[in-house]
Amino acid sequence: MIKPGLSSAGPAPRGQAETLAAPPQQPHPVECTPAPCLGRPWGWVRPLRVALGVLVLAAFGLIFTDAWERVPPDVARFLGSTQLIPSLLAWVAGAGLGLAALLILGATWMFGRAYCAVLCPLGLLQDAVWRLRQWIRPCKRLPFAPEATGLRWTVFGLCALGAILTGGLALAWLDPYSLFGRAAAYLLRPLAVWLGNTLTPLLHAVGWSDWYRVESAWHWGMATAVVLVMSIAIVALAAWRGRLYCNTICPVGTLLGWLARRARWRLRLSPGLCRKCGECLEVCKAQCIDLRRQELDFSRCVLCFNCLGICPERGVHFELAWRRRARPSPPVEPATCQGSSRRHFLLLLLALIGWKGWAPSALRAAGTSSRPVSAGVSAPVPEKPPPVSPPGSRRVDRFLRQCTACGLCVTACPTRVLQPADFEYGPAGLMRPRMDYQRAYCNYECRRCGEVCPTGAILPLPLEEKKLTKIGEVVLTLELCVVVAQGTDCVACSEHCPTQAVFPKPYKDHLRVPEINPALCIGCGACEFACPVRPVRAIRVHGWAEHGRAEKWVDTPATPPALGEDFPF
Amino acid sequence: MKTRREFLKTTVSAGAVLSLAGWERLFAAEAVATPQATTRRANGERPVLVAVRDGERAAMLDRAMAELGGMGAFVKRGQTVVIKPNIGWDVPPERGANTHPELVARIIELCFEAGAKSVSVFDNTVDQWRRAYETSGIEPAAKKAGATIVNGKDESLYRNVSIPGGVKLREAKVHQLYLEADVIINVPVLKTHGGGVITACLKNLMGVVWDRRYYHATDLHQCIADFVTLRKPHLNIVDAYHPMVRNGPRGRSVEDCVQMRTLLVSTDGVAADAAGARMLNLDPASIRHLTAATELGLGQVNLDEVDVRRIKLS
Repeated sequence: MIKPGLSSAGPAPRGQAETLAAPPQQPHPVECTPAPCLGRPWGWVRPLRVALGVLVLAAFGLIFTDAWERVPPDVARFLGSTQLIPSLLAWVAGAGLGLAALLILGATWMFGRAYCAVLCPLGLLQDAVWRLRQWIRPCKRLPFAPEATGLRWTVFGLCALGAILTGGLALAWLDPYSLFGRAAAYLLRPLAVWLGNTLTPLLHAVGWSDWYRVESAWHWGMATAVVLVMSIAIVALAAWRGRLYCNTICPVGTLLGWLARRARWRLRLSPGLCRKCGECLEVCKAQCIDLRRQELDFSRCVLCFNCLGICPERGVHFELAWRRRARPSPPVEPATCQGSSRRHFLLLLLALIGWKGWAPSALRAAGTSSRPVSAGVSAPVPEKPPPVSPPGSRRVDRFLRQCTACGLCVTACPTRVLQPADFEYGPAGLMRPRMDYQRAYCNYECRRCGEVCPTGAILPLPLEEKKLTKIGEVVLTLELCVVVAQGTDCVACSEHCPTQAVFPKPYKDHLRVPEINPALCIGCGACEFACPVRPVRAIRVHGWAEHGRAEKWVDTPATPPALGEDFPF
Repeated sequence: MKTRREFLKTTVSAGAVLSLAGWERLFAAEAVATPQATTRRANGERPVLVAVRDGERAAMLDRAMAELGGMGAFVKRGQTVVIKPNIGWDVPPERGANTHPELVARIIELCFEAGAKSVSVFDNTVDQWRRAYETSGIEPAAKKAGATIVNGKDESLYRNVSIPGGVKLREAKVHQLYLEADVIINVPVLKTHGGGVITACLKNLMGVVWDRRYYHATDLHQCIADFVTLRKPHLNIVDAYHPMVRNGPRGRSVEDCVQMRTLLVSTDGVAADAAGARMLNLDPASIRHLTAATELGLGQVNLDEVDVRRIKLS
């Protein structure tokens, strides 16, 4: 039945009423995105959502691809802190108030998944992919799909359990913010660097003389491989089914969906108005509109508001829903899944309270024994020194539990000494940042990683404290040293040392050989970076599983060389 | 492996011959005309070293340049100048690890007064270059004086060249500005140095080479001397205002520096370094890169053979 009436005012009649199973007979003549119907009630929300989304996606894209130190660390940290999982983790660590998490949960309880609509960078990325896909092959209709309740809650349960047991260690894999961060930091940023470097002559030519080339940012290793595979999977899912990832796998989506089902204001279909024309289905990214039952599954609605604008009958409403008011016809299925999810939620709530309270201390004991990282210098392994975690991470096990491997610190690190780990921390530490002293060393005057970290994994140490924080200790293999092996001067290690933990000592034939004073060493890796010996360097830093404190040095004024009123030559 | 090295060697030496042959002649021809060369002849080919003390940096520089016939003796109208200060470290000027920005700024002003077409400043820094450029105060000061700040950490700006005169360092990847500029002004800061014993004119030139590790792995002192055979700076200006007398080259605190309020200027970097060594209470003859450079005919480590002009400002 072709629908009459309003269709004459709007574009040509499309779809076929009530025959949802049958696909449209012909390719759609209309654009898939509805025109912003500003005149309608709630007509302004979709343009607002799109504008906010574009801004937020651009901002997150920028902080994760900034290889030129243009973004102030506070801005990067603030943006990271607006995300649910980092905010929660920081709260657990005592490094934040969890305000963002409260606001997100509160907003979801009020209006539904606003976080997924405008704040989650991975969700926005999927929107962008979906949009792009529609440009390439327009207007594929996504039919209503029943909620994959089992999968959703299984993944969520595993994540929750993992989070309770290991914190960020488990959450890192599926936290949407961190997934986006890694994709941008390890895949997009190298491309941005390449583009920036390629355009350098052009930019100089047009007068932007302050622009400069930077070192290529690729990290070749297992970490990037994993990021690549996961990113391709998510992009492919988004191109195929819109927000499918958000509604079946994403643990944040599941949690917020559960809350959204109980939201005060919800999007609803009005049975009296809906003519089942199916236009809303054309634009829904979440496959959450069931025209047969006249239901909109608000737990999966990502608040894109596309349906609100396109419905010719104005049959989609944003309305206040009173909890106790009896529903007109409560369907059986959602009720059962509500019941089960309520139990899930109670468990979750208990877990969250417990997490903050006892979990960190209980896990500390469990974690140290099972951690693959051996303790510091007491057991130096010549082939593979223990990994070094960034200053401010306090302990490697704490760091691995607190970090979601979003890659923000790796992006912000001005020397690029922070690199995603492959298996240096063990399999569990995959993708977590580590200090790569073969590549660079930690700048003595820099504390940027701690300044940007939104999860509290790297605490923002005051600079003076950072300069005394011992993240590892120097180990010198004198037999390998150039001076001993070749009989020529070098001591590049001591030249680079900011604390004189490595210093030159007179050696035979007027040479100088490095000598170490481990008490002064903070483990910055400058000596290891500078050492010219290959393949195994003569001086290396062995990471400490638990960071310590270096001895504070005090300098007395140097004795001036004999210098009279005249020239000494 | 072998073929690649061979390929590199041939292309590199061909490129070097093409790019450098002209420079040597140009410099030689110019040297005859400079007043400084006249003094040299008058003193029986002895290099001139001007040592000024007890003044502020800019004043000492002005006085020293007056002694050498002004900046115009080195920089001709329309020439391109590259200034190579020491910007190795992310530390402020008072730490004495980098050349002082006031001195760099004054040199830039003098170059422009002499009619320089452009003045560029760069260093292949040790610490992260953006921070070192900024914290050292050199980038802001040089920009204010009108110089062009050039990225010393951009590998694409470096060229492979062969160093036929080198003993151990036979080829290197050198910043194109150092190869192409009409005039090179080397502006080190005087410091003690772990491996190099002192760092001033000769050691400062390690900062125009991409791969410093090769020096350290091969024979540090010989490589430092070898590099100068490629192209000698036209002027060396050593900032010895408050030299770092221990814990060099990075230093640990301001206490590592001692105020000496001195400036050394010479066309002979080896002689300037020898004077610097004396200021640090060291015997220049015991510093191998200085003796090696003298053997290569790059300068004079023995100050008895140098025409030293000692000037006190107060």
